[in-house]
Amino acid sequence: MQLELERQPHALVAHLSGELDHHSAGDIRSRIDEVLLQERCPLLVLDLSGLTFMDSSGIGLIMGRYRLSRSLGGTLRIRGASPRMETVIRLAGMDNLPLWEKERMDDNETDQ
Amino acid sequence: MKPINEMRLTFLSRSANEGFARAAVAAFAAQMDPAVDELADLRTAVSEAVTNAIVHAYPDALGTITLIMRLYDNGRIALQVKDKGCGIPDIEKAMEPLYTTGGDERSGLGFSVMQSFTDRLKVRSKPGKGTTVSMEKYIVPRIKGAS
Repeated sequence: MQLELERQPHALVAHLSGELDHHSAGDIRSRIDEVLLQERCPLLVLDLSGLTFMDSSGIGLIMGRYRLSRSLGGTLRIRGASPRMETVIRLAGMDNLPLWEKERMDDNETDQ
Repeated sequence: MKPINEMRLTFLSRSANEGFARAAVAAFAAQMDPAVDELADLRTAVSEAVTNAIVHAYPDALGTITLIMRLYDNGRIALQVKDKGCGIPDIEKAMEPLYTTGGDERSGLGFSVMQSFTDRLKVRSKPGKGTTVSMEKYIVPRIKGAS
């Protein structure tokens, strides 16, 4: 499991790659939160496009970062969720939250 | 019906073994020639069951988790994840979507995910004795008479 944090002028983009499960989620969480709390970025983007596996622990991670961003007055966006991840996200009832950067994700894919 | 093959693995309830359990299940299921999606379903379901045992069955100590996998020639794969941990006092409540006793960072979706990614889910538990999660998944046969 790898995490790359990219600082943009008004956003923190967390690029996740590898397998996101309960084992890896703790470390990822604390590394994102440390920067988020320090820099108070108004927008946190979780880029899931590099993940090869995610179970419900990933949903816990997303929900936790959503709550933290909101408590800091910011917002969260999710980028690059696979159809399988979307199934889990729907189970959580999170598909109605305005978190998804679907179009932008598709744009990125055609650019590459 | 007798299984055509069976495996049994016992490992410690360390979170590093979540990935090990997924890899083991995928490697053993490979002889059934599952589709990529079917394999991903199995990996996700077993990951949820093993994580539950690690987080909830043995919250303050290490224990053992046994994974049993049986393959049948009609394409059925039966998976059992057993622990000897604290047990679940109210299984119905535990299976409710979004219900969790694991705190803010747990989604409460483990059983919902197991349910939606397998064809059958059964949970047996005795407080103080442990929990057995049984799941079944049917693999659509692609090669007739594979053994």
